[in-house]
Amino acid sequence: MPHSVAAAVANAPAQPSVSSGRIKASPLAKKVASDRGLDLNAVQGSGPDGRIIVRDLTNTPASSVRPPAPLPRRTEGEAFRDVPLSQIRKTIAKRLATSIGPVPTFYLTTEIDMERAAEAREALKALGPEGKVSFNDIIIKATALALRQHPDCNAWWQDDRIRYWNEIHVSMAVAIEDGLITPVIRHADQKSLREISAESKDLAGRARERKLTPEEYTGGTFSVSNLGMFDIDQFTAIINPPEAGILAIGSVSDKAVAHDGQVMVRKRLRVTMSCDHRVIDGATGAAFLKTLKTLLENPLAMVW
Amino acid sequence: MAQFDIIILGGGPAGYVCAIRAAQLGLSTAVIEKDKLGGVCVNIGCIPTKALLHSAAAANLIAHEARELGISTGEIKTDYGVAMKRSRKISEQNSKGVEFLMKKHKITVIKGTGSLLPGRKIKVGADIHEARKGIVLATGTRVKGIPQIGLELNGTTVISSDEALFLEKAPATMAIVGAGAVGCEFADIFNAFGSKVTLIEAMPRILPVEDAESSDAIAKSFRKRGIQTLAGAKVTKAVVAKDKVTLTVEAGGKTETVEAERVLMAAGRAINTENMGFKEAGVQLTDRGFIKVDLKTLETTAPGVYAIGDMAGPPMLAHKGSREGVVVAEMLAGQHPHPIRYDNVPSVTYCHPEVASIGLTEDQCKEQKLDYQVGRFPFSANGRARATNETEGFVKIIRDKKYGEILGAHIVGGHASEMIHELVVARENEYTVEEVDLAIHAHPTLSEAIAEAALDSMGKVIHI
Repeated sequence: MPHSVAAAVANAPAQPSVSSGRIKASPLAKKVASDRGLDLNAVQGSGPDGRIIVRDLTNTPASSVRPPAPLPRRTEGEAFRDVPLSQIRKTIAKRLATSIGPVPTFYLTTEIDMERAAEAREALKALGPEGKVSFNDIIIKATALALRQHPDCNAWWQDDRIRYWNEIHVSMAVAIEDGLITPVIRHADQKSLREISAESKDLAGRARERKLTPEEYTGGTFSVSNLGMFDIDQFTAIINPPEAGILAIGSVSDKAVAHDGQVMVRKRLRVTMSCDHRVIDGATGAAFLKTLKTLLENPLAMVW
Repeated sequence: MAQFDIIILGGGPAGYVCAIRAAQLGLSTAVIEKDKLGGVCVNIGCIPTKALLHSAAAANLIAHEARELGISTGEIKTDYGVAMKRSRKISEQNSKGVEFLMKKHKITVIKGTGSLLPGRKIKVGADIHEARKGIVLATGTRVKGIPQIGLELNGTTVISSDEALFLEKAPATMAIVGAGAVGCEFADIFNAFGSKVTLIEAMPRILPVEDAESSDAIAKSFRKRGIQTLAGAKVTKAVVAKDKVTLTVEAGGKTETVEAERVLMAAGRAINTENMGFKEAGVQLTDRGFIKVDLKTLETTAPGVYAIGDMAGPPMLAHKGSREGVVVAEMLAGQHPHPIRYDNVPSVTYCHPEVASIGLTEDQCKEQKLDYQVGRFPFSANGRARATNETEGFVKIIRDKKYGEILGAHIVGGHASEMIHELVVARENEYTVEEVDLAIHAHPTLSEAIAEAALDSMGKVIHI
């Protein structure tokens, strides 16, 4: 897989959200970040002791010659709606957090038959170099479409409320030299597979060269982390707060499975979803995964 | 051939500070100085002028305020020669202090004029010294005259600060060409010692790089004390006689004749680059005659050769040079020093009242089309200032409307030079006007005016 993805999400310590824990940032940087909706957790500070200063938010790296692409604004109406916590949600949040840590996480695993997705991928490849897409591109597209059907999973935990996003911005974990970064494919549900493929290649490439602007790696609403290229069958990824869910994608590999009553060799993929239980309940996450499975097992449904 | 890790050419405030920092970090360090350690700053600049300005302030205080303060005096006489000798003593003490610091840090001081050779080598007399890590150029600047209009420095009637600092008595009349910090400080000094001073500035106002309100406040204060200021003035002709100079000055469409016993040239400085082998060693200059450096590393166009202080470009201020010295020393020792914020170097003029500033002037904010709000607080409304008869001046803070960033701050007042640093710290750490106000200011202090100006910029001033 040419552009890729998260070696380290699974190992990375969960970062504190903006509202919890102290972030070293100048008062001015805090004001600017809050005004522009930037997540200071994702910003590398260049001040004394890594303190975030305003230049870290505004400076495009000097070597970058390419102006950042304008963000598409294709969603009608508000970008999100804030829902204050009900009493029951508050209690669930508190009890779960005490039990497991700041982000009470649970995991859901499903195995997806990727035979048709693989066929579709080969068919696209036959169209020429432009048609070359990765499994990861297909998964990002399917994830975005599944989120559209399950907005309950496309949300941010905000301490006193849950922010349900009407826009779908998929963070994709990219391994870089000394860690990882999560560039964001914005409005992924509204982009063609071709657009997603081109954008993820560009973002991953520039991520490794450390040429992303803060706007390009903050503001995701859901994450995808892929260790398939390392032959990992299955793993659990750590949620990237304030997002509430992340998909850990294993490798697409040939397996002997029962199919239509016969034992056959099929291309299979194991996907594990980590859910912030304060936002997503078991049934909600399972329903989302079911949709994702349907889309990947029947890729035509994505354009249906 | 002696070898050092780092060789610094010039022992002024940029060079000697660089040397101390390098030595602290364990580098073997040499400083080459042809004259006295401490450079212009210690010997013929910052320090002796502050000593003379103190004399001037005391003279003004006694002459104008003693009676009101309940002190009766006899006839007051001033003697510039005595004040000058005191200033010399202070300069010598400071220069000795630098010598002591060199010894304390085991820095080799080489007396002589260094000449740069290719390949990180410097020749002093017959000796060649080699630097393993880097050579740092810090030879500074000197005063230059304006020979184009007949005002060539002659050391008697047409002088620079170099001579003014050694005069035995104040002249009866003095014309000062250039009303920047140096010109205004000497105007203040010689006026207090009884000279009739005419201050001539080519730009439209005195202290041209300061905020227009600061310039106006000083012009007003000078006028009150009998210093004549001619701004937007061009010296078109100079007739230099044996005991006086006659200047023809065009200002505001009128032509005036200014006669003075001495003309003090306080405009422009020339960079000391000549006859030191810079060009031959591959050190290039900018169009304006400074040494061309990479502002991130201060390295010149000759690899391994660095330039700091006045010669590395404006602002030509000792504290800017010192910081550059620290940064280069730390880089050469393998550290990653915090980059210098050249937009956050304070500027101070020590005339009375003092003028201090940081960041942008209001005119610059206008030019850059910034959305700003000005906050002001006059010292006349400050209790401490009234108690000490220092009601001249104000604090002015220019705030960015959206985020409250301190775009610039300007103080005119008795202790502006000491007060500005609160705002320098604020800007360096990106505190906004709100954080400045949140810090509780002791009462009664002049610094309360800073908090009030911050509040005023948000429309919440308390005491006016």
